[in-house]
Amino acid sequence: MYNFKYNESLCAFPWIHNYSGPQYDRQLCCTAKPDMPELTGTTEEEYMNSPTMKQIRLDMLEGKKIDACSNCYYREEVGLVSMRENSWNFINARHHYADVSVGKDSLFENGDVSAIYNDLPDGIRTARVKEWQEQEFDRLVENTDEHGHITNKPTYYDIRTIHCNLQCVSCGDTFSSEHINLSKKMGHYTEGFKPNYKYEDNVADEMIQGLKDKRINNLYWAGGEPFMSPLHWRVMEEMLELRKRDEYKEYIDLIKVHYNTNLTKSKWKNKSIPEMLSKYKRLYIEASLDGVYETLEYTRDGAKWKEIEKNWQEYYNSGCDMRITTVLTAPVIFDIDRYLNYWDQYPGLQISIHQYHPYSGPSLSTIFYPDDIIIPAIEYAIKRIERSKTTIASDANGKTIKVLKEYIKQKKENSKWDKMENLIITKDSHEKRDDFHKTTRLSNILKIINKEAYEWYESIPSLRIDTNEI
Amino acid sequence: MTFVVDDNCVNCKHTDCVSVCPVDCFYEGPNMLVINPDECIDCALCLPECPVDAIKADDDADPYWIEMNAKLSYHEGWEMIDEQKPPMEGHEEANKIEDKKHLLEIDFVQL
Repeated sequence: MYNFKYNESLCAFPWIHNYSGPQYDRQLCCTAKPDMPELTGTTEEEYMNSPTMKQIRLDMLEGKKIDACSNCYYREEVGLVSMRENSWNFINARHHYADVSVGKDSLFENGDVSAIYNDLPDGIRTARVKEWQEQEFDRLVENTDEHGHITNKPTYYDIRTIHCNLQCVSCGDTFSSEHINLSKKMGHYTEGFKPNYKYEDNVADEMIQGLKDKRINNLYWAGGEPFMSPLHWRVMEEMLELRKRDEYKEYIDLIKVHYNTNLTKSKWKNKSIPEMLSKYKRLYIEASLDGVYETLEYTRDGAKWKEIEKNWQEYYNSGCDMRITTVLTAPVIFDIDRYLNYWDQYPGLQISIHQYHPYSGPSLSTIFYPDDIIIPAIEYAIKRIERSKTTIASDANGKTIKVLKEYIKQKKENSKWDKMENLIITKDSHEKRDDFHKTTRLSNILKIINKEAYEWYESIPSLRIDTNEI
Repeated sequence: MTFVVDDNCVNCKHTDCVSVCPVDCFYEGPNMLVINPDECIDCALCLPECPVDAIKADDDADPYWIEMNAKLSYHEGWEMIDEQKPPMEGHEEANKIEDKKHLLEIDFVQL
């Protein structure tokens, strides 16, 4: 083994993680900057031992900062849990899950240990990450040569495919086949991405080999909509086939499978999806539901709340480990009572609330709304979240609330984010998009959920005249 | 929701659509293709592929073609197609005809 020195800025993912994006793009992980266009469509071996990846491993081993990882560095600087820290969770499922549970061994069998990890106080979590790094470092680099070439294969796969039936307002044509169609309708281009099923078959073959080698310990399926992906079903069906064999049963049952779904699908080729998924032992499903009722139909354009509600019941009653994830966008903030009143029907249900970047996207962003409307709404939302019966207690959600409080503080001190031209540009862009909505328009939901915001929204044309005159 | 092939496909059969369908839900008749609504997963990948805009979301489609797609995908002789092939001869001329309902051939000619 080459004599590499341990350093604290290492991430485990360049050694163990295989991310393949909806357009076969490669990234170090889902939060890394997508700056590897030359590796799009590569095989696992081509990707893992590409010059880019070899150099990244060598740079990391020398303690250099990696450009693509700036998001993790930023999160660590502001005190949030980073994917880099999390990466050490995924090296050895059995060892670390037992370790992380800090004496709560029963959770190894039944719980999502990464949630416990996130709940550790900052100081302890940092110490724990350091401890894992030191323990695992030698094992991580034992098959790495002085050029950064590795002979070990990935243990954690994050696979996303393009197939999707929604045109979510927060999404775009790099993640959804419906968005490709929308972009064409909106005149952005005439030809979009085309799937390559030979490539997808090869990805499935690589993953099936990983299962046969008893190497894979984590699978993350997202999209697109993973329940619409033939590649996904091929791999999952192979898992069950292998499980029938005595030598694979224990291994297959240890694999952690994590989904992120839009919950619009309950059947695949006329078979019940919840029934199929109930056969896997360590599987949990996060339903990305940004809102309820009309709010969901707006943010998740193309979804129908009644169908989602029916599917939710079907999945929940089948015994699948179901969780909810939402991005706290402005429409969800305005509609927080209906949102949490709905999910409070399920005491203890785990909801992950993620902060929405204030500068991102039209209409969903808090900067789209004037201070006198959005600040009271956020202040109310924070209080409402804090008294929810659902489990919104994880550290990550606590941080979301912290960020919102900081946002309000800054807004009160300095309202530079509410420049009028910004609002007008945003509204123009939003209205163009709204013309293509399949279900609910923003003005419709604002009318229902927030009178002030609706009246303000309707008044913008006059604001535009005033600005021009100025 | 599902997607539907309408009469823009009659006497054309460009078949670009079949190469992107993840679930092989296109069925081929004598002079058009249809989508099996029980198999379509609404992914919309086929929509931008059709050079003659013969594929519509069922919300935008003529009810006649919604019904015909459902029926013809189970009609005797209509087989699943998953490989692209050249369009029918005379497709350029056929594309100029506006309403092609009456030109649809349902049964294969027995030789």
